Amino acid sequence: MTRNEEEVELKQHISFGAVVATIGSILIALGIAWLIALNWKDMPSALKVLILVIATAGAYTAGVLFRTNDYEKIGGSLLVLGALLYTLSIFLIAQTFNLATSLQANALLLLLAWVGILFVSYIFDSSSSLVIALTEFLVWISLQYFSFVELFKGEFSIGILTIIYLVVSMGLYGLTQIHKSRDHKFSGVYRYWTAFYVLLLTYILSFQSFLPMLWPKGFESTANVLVFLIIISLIAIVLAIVGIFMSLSKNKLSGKEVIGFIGLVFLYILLISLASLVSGESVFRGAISGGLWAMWLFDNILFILVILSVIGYGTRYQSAEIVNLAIMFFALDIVTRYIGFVLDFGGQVGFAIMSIIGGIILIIGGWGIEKWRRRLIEKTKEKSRQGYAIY
Amino acid sequence: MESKLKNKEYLKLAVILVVLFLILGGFLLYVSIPLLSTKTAVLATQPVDPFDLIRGQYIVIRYEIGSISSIEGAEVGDNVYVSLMEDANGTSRYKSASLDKPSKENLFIKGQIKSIYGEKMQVEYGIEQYFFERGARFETRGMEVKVKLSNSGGARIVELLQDGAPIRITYENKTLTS
Repeated sequence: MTRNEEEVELKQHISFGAVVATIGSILIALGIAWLIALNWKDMPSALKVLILVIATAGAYTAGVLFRTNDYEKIGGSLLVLGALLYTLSIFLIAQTFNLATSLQANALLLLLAWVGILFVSYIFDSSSSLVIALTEFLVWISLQYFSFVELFKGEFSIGILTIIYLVVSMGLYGLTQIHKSRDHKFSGVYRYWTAFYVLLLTYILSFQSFLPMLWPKGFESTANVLVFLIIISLIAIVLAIVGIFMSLSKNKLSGKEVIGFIGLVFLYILLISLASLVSGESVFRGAISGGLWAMWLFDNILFILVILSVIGYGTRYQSAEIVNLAIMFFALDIVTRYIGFVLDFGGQVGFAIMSIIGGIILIIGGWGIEKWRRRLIEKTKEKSRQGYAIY
Repeated sequence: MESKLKNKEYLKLAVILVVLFLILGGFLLYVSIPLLSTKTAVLATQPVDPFDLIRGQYIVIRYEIGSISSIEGAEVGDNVYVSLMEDANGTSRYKSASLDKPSKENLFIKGQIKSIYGEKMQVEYGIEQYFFERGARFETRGMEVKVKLSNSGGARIVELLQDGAPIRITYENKTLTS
């Protein structure tokens, strides 16, 4: 075995250990979450909060001790445990004081949680903590929108939700560029989440039944939703502009990519706005208008193109995670459209035939996707081995 | 790792712990403010019983003052201050409602308007849930809730009452497989 092969094997063992430790951390947090849900009456609430706070401090301390003793990955997974325990502490305090269970109340709890964890991730320079913060951010931003709908008994507009995801992806793209310009390792995490939001947004737009619901007939947004949207848009635009300029000034971003990014944002704004033309149409009753068909077809073709672009983006930045993410969305697309066709054609015989045909397609497709995925990852690794200076 | 770098990591840990404890402590203090008050009210209820996946078993409590007469100019989302008046049994009942905060001397509770239907409006006070251990059994008929009220009208539940005494809750025996 050559020295290089030994190094690769050692690296694989280390990352395998980190994965196992992270799963262990999540399991511990899950167990504690379940204990909180059980809400033991025999244990005073103050003691429960104290135990959780001490456990949080313990997890962070252990994480730092492992990191300072050259067990970086294991330390990272303990920081993940600390982040999860900190989140659970907030929810336990809320339970102890019988705080409201409304969406808004839960959104506020999550806001406290992700802000704290984001702070931790920067102080410790911990990518795994940043992943937890961004995951909680995704739940928070979605919950915050739904809570406005709940509070004001407003009509549910998927259009506003898609705009929120678009705005967040712009902000994350800006953060990617800011970190890239400073050669900071968080740029990879932000890049992954930018791709995730763009894929999620396009996935939502690919549903025929959702398009007329983007802007329900007679929909009027409430003042609070608009203020929320304006604030997050301003933050996102500033981040995007600052990030792009920082990266451009250090020659770490090509003009082509900037044009592509701006073009994509405008394309989405156009698509989301155009959905108002099919507002109020029902896809479940009778014939569907040509406009809705055309829009749905275009959105689905766009979804495939976006998936391919994200794969290209992942390959360009040597990110196997982004390539896997795009392929996961591709598989999700196939499964979703398959179920959609079953619903459209209906009937038990139709269902049986569609099941058989679909099953065969999925098996062949699954084999093909796996082969395709391996080839792409191999290509990415190959470029990585050749030491491509890719930004 | 060099000792200088190690010290830097420990310093970061100290900063993190201080900041996180400040957030948790501040949150704890904020939610405790009404409990530090001496103002107490007992509110009449109509409860139901759901389960929250993250936060466990709780009852949703609907209060008598949850549905009150509409106020002119009030809109959904507005804060509303409901003045209370004790009846002969010591239960605090609706006296009046206003969009302006009453003076500190009055017994009042702050709520948020959830909906307005003609002459009536639904108001929530942030005390519509009470958490307990799974498998709890108790009689909810005629239940009342003792709450503490801060000077700004914020409320926190102290205990559940029945016939003026703390409610009797029985629990299923727990085993490792339950």
